[in-house]
Amino acid sequence: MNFETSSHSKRWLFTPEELASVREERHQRVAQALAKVQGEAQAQQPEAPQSNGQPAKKGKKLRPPSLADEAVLLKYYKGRVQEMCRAFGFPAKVQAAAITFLARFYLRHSPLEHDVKNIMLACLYLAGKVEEAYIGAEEMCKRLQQQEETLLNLEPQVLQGLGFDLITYSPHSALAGFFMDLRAMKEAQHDSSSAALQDITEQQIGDAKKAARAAADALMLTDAPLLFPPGQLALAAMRSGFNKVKANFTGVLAEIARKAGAASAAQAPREDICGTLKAAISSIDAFGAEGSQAVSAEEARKVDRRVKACQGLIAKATVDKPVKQQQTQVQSELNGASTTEPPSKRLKLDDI
Amino acid sequence: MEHYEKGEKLGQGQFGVVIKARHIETGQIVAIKKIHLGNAKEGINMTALREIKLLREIDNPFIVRLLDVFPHKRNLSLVYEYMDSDLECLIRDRATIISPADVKSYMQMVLQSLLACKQHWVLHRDIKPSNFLISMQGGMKLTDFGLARMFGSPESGRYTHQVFTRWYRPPELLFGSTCYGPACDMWAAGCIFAELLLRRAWFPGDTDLDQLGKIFQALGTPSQDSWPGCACLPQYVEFQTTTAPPLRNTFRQASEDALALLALMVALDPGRRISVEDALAHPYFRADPKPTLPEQLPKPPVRAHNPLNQSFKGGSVLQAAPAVHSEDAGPAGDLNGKALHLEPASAAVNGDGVPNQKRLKIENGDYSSIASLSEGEELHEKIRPGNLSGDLQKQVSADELKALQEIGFEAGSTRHIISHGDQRLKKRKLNFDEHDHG
Repeated sequence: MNFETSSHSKRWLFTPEELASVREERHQRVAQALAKVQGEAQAQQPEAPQSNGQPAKKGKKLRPPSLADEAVLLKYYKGRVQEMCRAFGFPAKVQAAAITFLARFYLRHSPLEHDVKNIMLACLYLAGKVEEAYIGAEEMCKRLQQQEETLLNLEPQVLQGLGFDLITYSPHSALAGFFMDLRAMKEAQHDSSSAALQDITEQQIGDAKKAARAAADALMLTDAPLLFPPGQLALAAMRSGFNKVKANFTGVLAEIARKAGAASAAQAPREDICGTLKAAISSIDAFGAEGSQAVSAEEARKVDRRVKACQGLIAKATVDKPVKQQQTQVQSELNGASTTEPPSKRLKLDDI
Repeated sequence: MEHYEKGEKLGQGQFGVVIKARHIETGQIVAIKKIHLGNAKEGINMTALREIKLLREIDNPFIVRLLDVFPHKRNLSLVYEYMDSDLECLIRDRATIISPADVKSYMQMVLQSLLACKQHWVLHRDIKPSNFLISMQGGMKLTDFGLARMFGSPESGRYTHQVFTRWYRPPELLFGSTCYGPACDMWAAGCIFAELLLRRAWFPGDTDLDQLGKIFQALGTPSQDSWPGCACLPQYVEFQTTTAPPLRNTFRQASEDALALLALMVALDPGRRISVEDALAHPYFRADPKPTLPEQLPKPPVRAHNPLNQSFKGGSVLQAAPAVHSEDAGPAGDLNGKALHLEPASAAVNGDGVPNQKRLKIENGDYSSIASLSEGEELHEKIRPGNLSGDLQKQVSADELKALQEIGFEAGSTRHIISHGDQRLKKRKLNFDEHDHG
């Protein structure tokens, strides 16, 4: 597959503004649906205790988690995906695919609709299948002590949430490619006098590579993969790796730009390519810094409690009333009008 | 589903039904494959998933288009463009005359489909006449990507040899190879070429062994010269030596250049089998008679009870390939990846289909194509002298980086690596084995 013609490039790279508006729109939709449910609940039983058992103070409303809160939760679970992939010995492409699936899914859906943990498991399972590094659902769930059924039932919804676009491109593969190129460049320069790359030792390259892979892992935890193509993410990770071992990256970047310029049909001048890349790398670096800061389980739990409370309220609203009618109504408000799922299935999932 | 008006049932398959339908708004006639999700233990069927995954990315006039996918009740519905007939119906239909110019036109389209697959780094692995759909306008498209997979990434592990319907399965797969490339599809295309000329299957084997017997009877048994290293393949069986009779004995009417191309397409040694690019550039296609224009091709007989594609009869593929879902499991390792580079590598590096310019267009970030190739670097680290048998060691470590960067591989090295690949894999104990359900 070529990246230029891929669904990844055509449908899943955004500008920061697009990304913000997609999320804001989704967040509003869910917040409104939640407010409506709450309003109805209070109108029905003004003095009754809330679902958590504490007396409801008049006017106190359950505040849905903000987008920033959701981001914390998602980042936490993306980190968990990486841990699990390491435990299972999955290759990087599975990790990257699973995280990408998770990030894409929650562009369209809210954590209030689908529990992040379960979706994460479904994404990981799907990524294993898609990347042909298959692990059986039974075995995976046994090792993670999870219910197989939950995971398998969610699969169609995850697929739909992803728009059935399943091929993803990871910075890790691109990174391996750049290091491959680097070695070739070094060899090619061996005899010539332009020895810009000769100061870098083999040891340094090895260490830089390790550090760069860690940097790519960190980038995967952020929004960067939704904003930048994998090649640029890889270059940023590579520079980060070089900085770590205190090796000069400028020469390497210039070489890569030169090769790109030589091969590009447009014959763009080398300075331009270099400049574009440098600019991209700088913006990606900010994400790298963000990605390397881990979310603690405590932080995640805090958000998760709020999410669960909202989920509980929604579930309660749907259970309290004549089931079929209400449920469809609430669910379709949550999901927009697009849902084609049978109501019974939805309820089961959201009840968790 | 509300967007479609249901029509007749086209077929019943293992995973569900195929129906004809009409898109209400646009009036477009489509075929809908309903895949029943049921209570399958492993969730969505791998075959369906592969088909969705690959067809969502490929937009090519020679590949059937997947127009839409949606869940409906307990089904996943796959919507395809509707095609009236297929190449198998055409070949079997005694009333249809297929002229040499028509054969040329069909073969050109078959090869165009193969080229599209290769350019997208896909091995189809179920090339056969019934998977080439034909429209009344004469267009032909390849369908059924349920056995297809991506190739070229060193991470992707061992491939199963249980693919292709037996009659079209290449000899390296019959011998159990798990490291193969686009040449496998070329073999099957060669079989189709022969079938168009003969109007019957060339190698209708009853068992895998009989299949090999029929192949060697026509093409001669492989020798160290004609196919170096074939004896090292996991399921190699020695046959009593026979030499190939001239193809002319079988194909009496065919032109010289047709037989020349056919011979190249069915070279026993996958390393010597013609590439799809070279096949399309073969003099056969430029010589007279010129290929018939698609709209002037014979009108295909409309299938009476034939489903969208053959595998949905619940038949041949699945019987021929029982182990498909459990294979292809864990990345069996880097060494394997190395071996896989052969064909992929030349494709990636010299850009037949994946030109350098694309590969290096960094502003668009397409490093993935080289990346898949270049992860060979990691292999390089692991494949150190001592791990390997002598031959291979030389092949891999000495020229590795250069070879990968240069235009194409030497045919010689290709053969060696292929032939040794399986042995090495067997020897290696990889930490991924526990996930490897193959």
